[in-house]
Amino acid sequence: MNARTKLIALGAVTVLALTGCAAGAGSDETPTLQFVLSGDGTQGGGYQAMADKYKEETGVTVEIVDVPYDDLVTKLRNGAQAGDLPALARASDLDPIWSNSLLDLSDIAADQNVMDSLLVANDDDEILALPSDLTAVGLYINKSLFDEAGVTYPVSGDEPWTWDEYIAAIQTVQAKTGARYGMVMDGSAHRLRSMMYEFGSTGVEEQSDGTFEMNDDSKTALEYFKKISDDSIMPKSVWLSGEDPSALFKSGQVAAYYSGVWQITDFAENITDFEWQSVLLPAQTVRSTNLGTNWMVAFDGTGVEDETRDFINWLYEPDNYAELSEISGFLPAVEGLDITYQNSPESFALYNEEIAASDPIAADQATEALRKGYLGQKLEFEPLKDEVVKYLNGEQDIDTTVLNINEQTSEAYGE
Amino acid sequence: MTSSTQTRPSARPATSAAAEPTPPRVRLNRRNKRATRARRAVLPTLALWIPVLLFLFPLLWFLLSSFKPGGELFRYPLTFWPETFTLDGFAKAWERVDFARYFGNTLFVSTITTVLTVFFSASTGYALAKYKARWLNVLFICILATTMLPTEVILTPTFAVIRDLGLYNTLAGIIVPSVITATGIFMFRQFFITVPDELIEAARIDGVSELGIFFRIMLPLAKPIILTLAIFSFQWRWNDYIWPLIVLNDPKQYTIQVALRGLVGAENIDWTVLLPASVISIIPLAVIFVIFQKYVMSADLNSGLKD
Amino acid sequence: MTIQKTASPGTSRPVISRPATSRPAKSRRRGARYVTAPIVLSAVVVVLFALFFVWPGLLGLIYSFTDYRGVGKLDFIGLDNYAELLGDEDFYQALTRTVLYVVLYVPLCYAISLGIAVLLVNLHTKGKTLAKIIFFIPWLVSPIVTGVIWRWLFGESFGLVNFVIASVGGTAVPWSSNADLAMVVVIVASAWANTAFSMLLFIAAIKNVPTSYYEAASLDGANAWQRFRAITLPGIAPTSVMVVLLTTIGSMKEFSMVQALNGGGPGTENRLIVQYIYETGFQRAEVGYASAVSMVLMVVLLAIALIQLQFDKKAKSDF
Repeated sequence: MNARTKLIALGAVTVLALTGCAAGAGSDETPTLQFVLSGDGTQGGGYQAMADKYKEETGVTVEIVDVPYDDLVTKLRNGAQAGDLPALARASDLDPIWSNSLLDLSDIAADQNVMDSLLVANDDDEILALPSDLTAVGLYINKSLFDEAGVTYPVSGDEPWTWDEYIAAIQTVQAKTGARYGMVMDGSAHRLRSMMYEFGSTGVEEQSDGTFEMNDDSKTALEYFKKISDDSIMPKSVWLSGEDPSALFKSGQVAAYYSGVWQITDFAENITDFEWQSVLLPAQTVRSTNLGTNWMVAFDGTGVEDETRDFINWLYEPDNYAELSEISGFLPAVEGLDITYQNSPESFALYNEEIAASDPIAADQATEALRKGYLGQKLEFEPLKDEVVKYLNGEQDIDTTVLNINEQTSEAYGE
Repeated sequence: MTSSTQTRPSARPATSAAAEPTPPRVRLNRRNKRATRARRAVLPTLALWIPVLLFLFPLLWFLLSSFKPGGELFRYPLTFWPETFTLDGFAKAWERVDFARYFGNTLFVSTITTVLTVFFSASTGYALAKYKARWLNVLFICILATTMLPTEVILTPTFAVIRDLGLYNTLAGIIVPSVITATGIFMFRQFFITVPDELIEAARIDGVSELGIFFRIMLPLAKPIILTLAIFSFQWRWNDYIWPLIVLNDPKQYTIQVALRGLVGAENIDWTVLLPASVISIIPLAVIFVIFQKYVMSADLNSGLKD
Repeated sequence: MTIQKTASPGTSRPVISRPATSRPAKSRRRGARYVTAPIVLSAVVVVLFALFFVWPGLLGLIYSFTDYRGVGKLDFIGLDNYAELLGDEDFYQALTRTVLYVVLYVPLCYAISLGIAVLLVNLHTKGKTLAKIIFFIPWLVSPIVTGVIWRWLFGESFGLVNFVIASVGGTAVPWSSNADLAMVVVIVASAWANTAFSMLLFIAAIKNVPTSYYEAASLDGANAWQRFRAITLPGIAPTSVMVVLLTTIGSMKEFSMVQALNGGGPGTENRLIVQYIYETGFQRAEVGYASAVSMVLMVVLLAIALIQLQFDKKAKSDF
């Protein structure tokens, strides 16, 4: 092919590409609702199943757009900037760039019995975001190791153990079985917060003058945390270098794993060398887990607002919501449902029990974030984690750590 | 010296098989030659295969781990060879990720972008190498500067530009910004620097136009660079995820990396799916590489100018 | 498409029948004649450069003088961002750590990829195709997967390397808890993943050196090492400069590999400059600050590039 022919071919192909695949989106009669979320594929495809069911029942197409978790915020943000927001989304937080374009979902919340502690209304009494599902922090143990060491642990219906009792227990297990570590905890401020709550902390709280502070129990909890991060009870590498705690636990060399409900499906499928079990969280003075949720939001200005509301309402109906939770292994954010989980139902039951028995502080982190979201404020990073990492690494002392966390939170929310 | 510069070497002096039986002296010489060749091969071969084995070890682990069941992946002590060999992971990965579609999307976009990239990198590289002008030097520095800002910094402003140009949700929106590559231009510039000016002089004397020189002489000469840049360009476009994700609205047009990143959950990663999926995703590129490299290697042993 | 335009400036090209006598006249006209050609050849790139680099770059520069948070208004705060970063210890730590990484990594990568390229071009080596594939595939693997592979190998608690060390009686090495050891792991992993790129560039360059030079040298009695030093190295000088410069810039911007391997740990001791920009800037929605640091980084890189390109001038004139 000589140069001229190549050029013509090039030109033709380019023109084809540029025009051929411009903005798609069919123009059929039934509207398509774009639903942006993350992780549906990795969680069993519950939302896709619901979308298929909805199409069967009503003929309306719900297009599930499953984007990588790390890119969810970017996707929504840029979509907003291009004037191309989806019909609805399951977002991890409210983004100031689009938090003013949301529909009011308070009627759906009331009708479908959505969990009260996670409902947050803005100043106009509108509920702009519904909890899509629930996650909670929980403790797993390597049952085989515990049984081998003959150490008992509290299960459903028991009284929880204190942190001191818990640490003593895992140290016994370590001594008797030669397990490498007593416990691992996810490198996440979310998990750490629940530990702090268990010591009586109330998190990083807004004071009357608008600044943020942690109480003294928080300091106790953090010092305790540092004490047990001694590379014997708990390895430092998880918090300091991002070592994968789940992998460590699955190796069978760790007695306990402080994580959350999302591990259940993974463990059920991928742990075959030893027995694991969900047990009660330790409670030094207060019994509390930490709740997490994603927020179901519907966007205004998409032209399909009514259809979107209908879909969300349908989704929260008991039968549908229960089915969704079963397929994806979600804890329900709707009250009064009876869900039969396929994997390890007793673990899920334990989580529900923990949530019911928890101090109300457990819902605090999630609802506070939403409240701030309504005001157009968002904490994009975790001062708690960043400063604790430096504290664990010996880069600064406890008082500096507490001070930094207070200051940075105040600054971030001070806008 | 003629201006025809297709320096495909003439056939090497005959070692081709003759029709009649070969006389004993020739057979002996041939055997000696083979022996010498074998002797000469030992040292470089040995020197090569030590790093090869070092590189191979982690790679093999990666490949073998994709065949392990979930329970074995994190077992302690770690196993190298799978105790249980299973294709489950691959089956799950194939089901979870619509490879056929994503490969198709990615291949389409990559091909067009690569053709454009190679062409314009070559033309610009040639201009930078063989023409003298102050503004060309400045242009070169400017192009290098494009590699000096991290992507996150110019992500939002570039998106604003794409949107303002009306390229949101079009394939052009992800192809056009990717055409310019400092590495590609740099590669061609350095290559054309090594091309003797006499070649160009002679061509001009013969009455060839400037563009003619570029198309008919320089481009064919630069074949190894073209192929090498093509390999690079395919790989870069293969690994693109952020632009397709935020510029395109229709998820059916996403690329393979978006799909792979989607396998990374918010709190944990299902390695039993991600590892096999990664293996599958690199196969097309490996194939492209093998094909192209054959051409690069076989391209004139004296691809430079003989005189 | 701009290339359709004919480049000829319209002046008739004199048919030169006696090149020797006309040469002086030609050189006087050279400057004027070849103005259009380079413009045509580089037009598209110039336009794209302006659209997709200058425009966003200027926006970024503007942001650096504001306290922009990604949304909302742009409040100009002058040089405050720059003052802040110049006073930030973490910035200097990130910068020095990055420089350390670059200084260790670039020569290593250069040597390895050049050595391998030489071996791969050598006619006598056996198994070249397979070897090339093996060197190339690590480059195709995404950082997440590369991270996990090397974590498995060098995991502090259960990694293979520590396991082997422990089995032969040593003590486990703190690959992720010691900042310098962690850096070593990052260097090794980066070399594994990135050698292919430079290797391919070198292969193309080495093949470009005329074999007649080598033949002449062997006839003169030069051995392999002498041939390498006297012919190959100068012959690939432009490519060498390119490889060193590109590797330098690339490693100064290193982020995803370090993230995948140890998150910049332990703590923030191995936080390199782009991670610093990401964490102190984008993660906190302080887009203005992040832009300022990025501008500083670009200036540093430009300086490095200009210095290294001095060698390129030399290479260009030597060739």
